[in-house]
Amino acid sequence: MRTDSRFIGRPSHRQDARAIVTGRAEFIDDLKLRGMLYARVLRSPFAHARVVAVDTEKAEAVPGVKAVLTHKNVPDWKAGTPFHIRVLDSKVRFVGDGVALAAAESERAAEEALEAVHVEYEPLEAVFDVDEALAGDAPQLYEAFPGNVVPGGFPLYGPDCLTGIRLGDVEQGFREADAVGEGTYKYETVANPLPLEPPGVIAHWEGPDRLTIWAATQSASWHRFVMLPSLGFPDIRAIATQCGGSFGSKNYSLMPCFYAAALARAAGRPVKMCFSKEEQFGAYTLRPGSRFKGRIGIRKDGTVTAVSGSWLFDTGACSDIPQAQVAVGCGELQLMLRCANWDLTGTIVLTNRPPSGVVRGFGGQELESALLPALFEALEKAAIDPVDFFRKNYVKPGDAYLWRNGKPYVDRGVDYSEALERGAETFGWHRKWKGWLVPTRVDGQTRIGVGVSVHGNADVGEDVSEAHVRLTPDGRAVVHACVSESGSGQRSSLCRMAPEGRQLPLDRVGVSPPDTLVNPFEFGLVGSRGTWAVGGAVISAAEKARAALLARAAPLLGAGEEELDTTDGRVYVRGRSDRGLSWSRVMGIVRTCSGSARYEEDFTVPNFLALFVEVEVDTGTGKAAVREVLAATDVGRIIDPQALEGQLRGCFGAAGLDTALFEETVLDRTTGRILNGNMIDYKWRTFRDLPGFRNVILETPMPTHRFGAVGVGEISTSPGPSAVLMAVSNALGVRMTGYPLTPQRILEAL
Amino acid sequence: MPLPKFEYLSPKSLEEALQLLADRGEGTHLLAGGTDLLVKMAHGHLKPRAVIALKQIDALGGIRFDPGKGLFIGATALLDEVASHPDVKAHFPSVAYAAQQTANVQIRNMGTLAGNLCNAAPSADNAPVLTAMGAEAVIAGPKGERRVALDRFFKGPGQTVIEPGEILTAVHVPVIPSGFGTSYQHVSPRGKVDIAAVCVGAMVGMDGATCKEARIVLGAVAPVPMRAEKTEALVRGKALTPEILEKAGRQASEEARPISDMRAGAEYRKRMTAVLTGRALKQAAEAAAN
Repeated sequence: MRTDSRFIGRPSHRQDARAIVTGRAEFIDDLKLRGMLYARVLRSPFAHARVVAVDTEKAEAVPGVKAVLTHKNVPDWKAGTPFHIRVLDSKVRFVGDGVALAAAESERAAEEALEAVHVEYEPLEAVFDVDEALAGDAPQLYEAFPGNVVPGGFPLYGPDCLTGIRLGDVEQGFREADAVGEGTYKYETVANPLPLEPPGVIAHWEGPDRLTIWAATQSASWHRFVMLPSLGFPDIRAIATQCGGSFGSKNYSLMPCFYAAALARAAGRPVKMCFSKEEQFGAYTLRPGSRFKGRIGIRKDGTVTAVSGSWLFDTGACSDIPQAQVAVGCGELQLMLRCANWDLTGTIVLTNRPPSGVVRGFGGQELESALLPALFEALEKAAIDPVDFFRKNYVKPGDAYLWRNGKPYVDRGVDYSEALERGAETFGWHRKWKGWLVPTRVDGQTRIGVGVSVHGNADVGEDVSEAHVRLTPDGRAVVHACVSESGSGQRSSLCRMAPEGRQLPLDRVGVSPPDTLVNPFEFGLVGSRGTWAVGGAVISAAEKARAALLARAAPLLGAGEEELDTTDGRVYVRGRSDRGLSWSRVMGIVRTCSGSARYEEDFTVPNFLALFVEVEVDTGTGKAAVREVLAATDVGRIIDPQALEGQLRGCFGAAGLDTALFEETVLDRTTGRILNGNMIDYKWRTFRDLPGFRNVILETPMPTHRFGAVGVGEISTSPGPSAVLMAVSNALGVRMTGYPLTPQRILEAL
Repeated sequence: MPLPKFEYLSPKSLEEALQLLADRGEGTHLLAGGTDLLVKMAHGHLKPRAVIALKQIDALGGIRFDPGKGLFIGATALLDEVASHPDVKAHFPSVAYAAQQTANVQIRNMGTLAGNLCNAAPSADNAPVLTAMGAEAVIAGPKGERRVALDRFFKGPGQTVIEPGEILTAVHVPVIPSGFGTSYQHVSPRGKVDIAAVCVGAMVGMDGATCKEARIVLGAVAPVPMRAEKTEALVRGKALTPEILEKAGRQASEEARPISDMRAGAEYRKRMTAVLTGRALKQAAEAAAN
């Protein structure tokens, strides 16, 4: 145990834990403003239709109703990339698309109003499959996107934003290959991240061009700076409430914000828009669909000689920021596959199902889950142990890769080979691995198999964070950072990382409320950036605050600043604790000592996670079950052991590992309706189904910040689906190629 | 979603409950655990005028075991009580197991075994093995008490022989005779906490390796939990060899009349009927030997 902190790496309670478990934590649904109205949405029963007529006369007469909006009278706000998503449109593009909005004194009154809205639809032909959507005669979702293709390139990532990977000479690469894997593979379970709390916001116009939004969100700034300014007015204040889980889906809640803001403006009163569970299932954010058609060539020594193909990214009925997901996914793939010759093209395709968005990761899980089956075929042909392959191919210090903005970066982090190897040893890989398509063990109708996959991300240092730290005379520290609590415990972790925090009892360190009005800029808790990027800004700000404090104390103590130290609200000469002063004596009562700092993005320290899985398949029933999972990683330094453990176990649930087995949004491909949009029929792993779970966590210091840590939370799910696919294939002795691995699919394969 | 308005009644005795049921008449529903009833009400599928809670009636609670008469499971006995009761676990292990496999902890701590039967879902976890064991429903009504064997209890999805004005007061399970064994097998696409796609309950009487008696009940493959009588006849008097078990499975699968739905396709259900019937017979025979 290193001694530079009393709290880093040691267990302690999350600051909000008590409030959550005693029911005192305030979630969005608990908030009530004076005069607040409740909003409901009338949703389309058709997957694709024109709204020919809509009559709201009767709806407006329902007692308690204060505003009813249709596409004819909503504000002309647009969002999406490029702009194409309207508050309401004269065309609906998925079952559940908004048709009319009502705000009333009660939810019941708003619902009654919507029941009284008369709508005439002209149903249009719909398309649910990416290949069919790309066909010449396919129904077209938007005039602006001919062929149902959304243009690539995310403006925020600059003109060279990755839309694929093109490098070297793939024809030459394939000539050098000893084995080639080839085919079309689909990862199209479009699972739902399904945080416990559905999305919700309150919108309140405090002036004609001044909007305040309270939101359940993981990234408050997405409302103020990054996404919503497209509304076309200058001043948005976003306040994050306690957030009941997000998993990427609540960076910001576009449609709830649109609906609440439009209704609040029409009614002249604050409006709360909380989606129901059914709306969260059917009209919010699904994981993107992913289809890879292509080839991968390798040599017998595990060198990847060429990757070529087409990556079809199914974004559903509208596109929020899929271009960014394609760019980051292409970056992440390069971290796990070292290859000189690439010709991979990403295409974003629109279909008439509920929209996809950001879900647990950012393109990499989607791309790798669809592409790795082709790699596995090549590895099988060349008889290469996947652990050996990943050890050879995972990016190492000195290696270069293109990141999301199309620019090359050189890895200056650590070599993860040891984490992988230690994971393999602890899991018993070398004993359990019997070769491709060979079960580890067969016991009657039970067949056991193992699989492994890896994933990493260089977004752990993405984007900008600003922080301000204030030390007060009564021996407390306040961190000003616009960080919401969406479940990962990051607000508590920041208190551990602030250097004065590490020398103050944790109950004397606080974080400002996540409110864009009172805090410096913070991009948000995305890409596992909280530990390094946010932590980096907070650590630097705290160091400056500490320096200001010591500078004031030095003359009072008759010593140089460099001779001083501070603990528990007292400054003293190092080694002479009797020569000291309390902070109140140093500052007086009318002063604080503070420091500000800014973190600038850095893509040169990727993180890493390997998941080893052991499955058993009952060849009688066709059921595959995970027996054991082992996560291996190197995090540089453990900040909060419990939070880290939780992150790694997070490989289950929320559209993660189990999307390989049963976690799936089942779409009726004739009507476009979701068939399992409820908590009984939507399959989720429950506590009784939890398998054995072990971690191997190394702590090799990283060149990030004072504590040498990187985040790992986002990537815990990504290797899961492909690892399970490999394990089931090995158990059965049959190469499985599609998700989810349902009993029916497994019995067909046998 | 708030519940619609209804009258809530909480009688203290069975007589009072029967009287209230008669007085209130149509639109009156009985509440034991409420895990099915309240969900239907919350979703607006059911709008009762009155709800009579049975929980305050002491006579309907608890589990009684008599080595001569067998097991009585009261109408308000919770699934978890059935699953964890020492006498049930010792003398009726498959009954305890089926209760343990029903839904999740929260549901088992609120829901009742009797309610699981009265709800009459074709997939009810507790129906197959109880039916195979010759259990009967004890039903009280204006004309007194009657008993109905569970293989005649179910009429269709959500429908039982219970008449308006009647209350199921207990489930009676006869003592398992010496030389008999039981088993409950089920499969669902997810993991352990799910509605069964197919379930099978079996009781067999063994004489050495020979099966002298068999009762096999299939769940979730027909409108009601169904006896597989041809399969029973097929195994009766035979040694339960792997070949016979496979034949029995095929026969059961022919008797099954499943539908395709969200949980599984009809073909998969037929196939699982065969697999689970074989497994149930094998396990029941092993239990008989112990």
